[in-house]
Amino acid sequence: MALRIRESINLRLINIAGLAVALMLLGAIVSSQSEFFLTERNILNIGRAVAITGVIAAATTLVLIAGELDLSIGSTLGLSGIVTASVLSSGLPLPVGLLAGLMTGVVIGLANAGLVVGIGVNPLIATLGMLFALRGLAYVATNGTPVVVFGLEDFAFLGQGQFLGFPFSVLLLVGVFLAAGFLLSVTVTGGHVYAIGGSRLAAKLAGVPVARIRTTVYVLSGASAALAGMMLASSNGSADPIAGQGIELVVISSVILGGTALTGGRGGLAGTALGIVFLGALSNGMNLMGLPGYWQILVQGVVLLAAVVIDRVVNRT
Amino acid sequence: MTESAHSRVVLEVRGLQKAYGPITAIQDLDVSIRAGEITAIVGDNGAGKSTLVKILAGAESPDDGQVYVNGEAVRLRGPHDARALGIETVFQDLALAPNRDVVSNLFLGRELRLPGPLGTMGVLDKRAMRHRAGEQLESLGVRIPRLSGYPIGAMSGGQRQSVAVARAGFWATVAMLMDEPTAALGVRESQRVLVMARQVADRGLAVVLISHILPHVMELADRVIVMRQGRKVAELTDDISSERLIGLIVGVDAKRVVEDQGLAGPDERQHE
Repeated sequence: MALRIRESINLRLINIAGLAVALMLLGAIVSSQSEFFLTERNILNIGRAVAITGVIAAATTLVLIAGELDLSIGSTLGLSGIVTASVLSSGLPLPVGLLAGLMTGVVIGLANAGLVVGIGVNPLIATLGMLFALRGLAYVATNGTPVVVFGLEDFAFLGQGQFLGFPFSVLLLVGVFLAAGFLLSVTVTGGHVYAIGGSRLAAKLAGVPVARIRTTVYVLSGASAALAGMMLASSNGSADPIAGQGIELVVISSVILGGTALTGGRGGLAGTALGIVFLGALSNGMNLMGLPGYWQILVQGVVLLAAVVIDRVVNRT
Repeated sequence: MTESAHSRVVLEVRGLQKAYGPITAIQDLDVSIRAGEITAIVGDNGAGKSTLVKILAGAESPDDGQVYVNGEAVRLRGPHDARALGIETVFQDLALAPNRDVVSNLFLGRELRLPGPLGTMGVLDKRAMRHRAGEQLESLGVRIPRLSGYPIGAMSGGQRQSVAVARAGFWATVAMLMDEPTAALGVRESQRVLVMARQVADRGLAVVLISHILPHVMELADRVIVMRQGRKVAELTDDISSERLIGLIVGVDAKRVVEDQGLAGPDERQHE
C-alpha cells in the first residue's frame, strides 16, 4: 500500500521537479565551461535537435501510459520519409506528399493495432517484428539509396524554415506537445488512456471502449513517427532508408526519464518535455565541452539508469 | 420490508439454462427480483449463483431461457447492454482503475462533457463531475477526504468498495447486482457496504446480493433464494434462520448437518 500511495500525483510533481533541478545543474555545469551554452542561438539549436525525437516522444508518452509499447517508430519514421520524398520527387504537389507520408504512419499504426489489439500478440514482439519488416521494406523500395528532394522550397520549410523568429520544427514540436497534453489531461479519451493503463479489465467492465482507445494510441504513434520522418527528410533534403534507426530507444528513454511508467497508468507530457530537453541539453553540452562521441553514449546510458534507479528508490521508501 | 410499496418485479428470468461443456451451471431456473428489496442468492460453490448474476449482468449469455427487464424480454449481448437497461454490477474484485481518482472512477466510461463545441471535442466537465460525485457519496454516507487528484489504489479496500457501490447505485435505474461484495473486506468495512446496499434498495432499486456470509444474508435480505446444483430449491421471505439456510443449501436436514459438522454457533462462515 505504501508503494501505491507514492504513486500519487504529488509524487509525480516531485519527480518532475527533480528532473528540473537536474536540468538546472546541467546548465550550470556546462555554462561554466562554455559561454555559448545558454545563448539564445544554442537553445534554439537544442530545440532543433530534439524536435524530431520530441514529436514522437509526445505520442510515445500516450502509448506507455496506456500500457502499450511501439518499437516500430524508428522504421515508421524511415519509411514515411521515403514515401513523402518519392511522391514529391515524382512532381506531385506538396499536400499530396505530406498526406501520403502521414497516411503511411496511420496505416502502420493500424497494422500494429491489428496485431496487438485484434490478434492479441504481445506488443513487444509485434512491434519488434514491424521494426524489422518496415526497415527491410524501406531498403527494398529504395534499393538502399536515399531519395533526394532538393530544390523544393515549400517542403524544405518543414524542417529548415523560420516562423516568427523560431525554427518551424520547434514550433511543430510545441504544437504537438500542446495537442497531446490537451488530449491527455482534459478529454474523455485521455482519461480512458490512463484508466486502461491502470487496469484494462476495470476499464472494460466500466464500459470504456478499450479496443478503440488502444488502437488510437498506436495510430497516433505511427502518425507522430511519420511527421518526424517528413521533418527529417525536409531537414536533410533527402530521405535515407536508414533514417531513424535506433531512435525508438532514445524516444522511450526520454519518456521514461520524464517519469512515465513502462508498466502503464502513470506519467505525463510535462515530464516527457523535460526528459527530451534534458537529453538534448546533455548531448549538446557534451559536444560543447568536447567530450568524445563514445563517451557521450556511455553518459546517456548512465543518466537513464540513474533516473530509473532514483525513481524506484523514491517510490519504494 | 418485504411488503414495501416497491414490491414490483423488475428483473426476471424464466426457463434459464446454462452449461459449460459437460457441466450444467443452471437448469430450468425461474427467478423474480423485486424493486426496493434486497434479494440474496445463496448456495454452495457450483450452485449457479455467480452464473445467474453474470447472465443478469450481460457478462454471460444463457443457452436457453429468457431475461425480462420491467416485464420486457431482453437480450443482453454484453455488460454494455445490461448497463444501458439500468442494471449495474459491483464485482468481488474491486473493478476500479487504481491509478485514477474517485471522481474519474465514478464517471469512468460515462464522463460528463462541457456544453458546446469544447464538449463535442471531448473536453471533460471536471467541475460538474466533482460536484455530482460529492453529492452522491454524501447521500450514501461515504466519507472520503480526497475526491480528486488522489489515486483510488492508495485508499483502503473499504473505501474502494464504497466507491464501487456508490458508482453502481449512482448509475443503476433498475437493479444493482453484488457478487460477494464484502469478500475482500474487514468487519467494519463490510458493514459500511451492506448499509449502502440497503440505502440503494430504499431508493426503489432492486438489489441482488450473492454472499457466502450467512449472517449478512439474514441481517439484510428481504428475500432469500436458495440454489443447489443449478436449480432454485427454496425462496424464503421470513423465518430465515441459519439452520434452515444451511439445510437448504446442502440439501439435508439442517440439524443433522449442524451436529455432524459441529457448525452450531454464530459463525456460519465455516460452512465454506
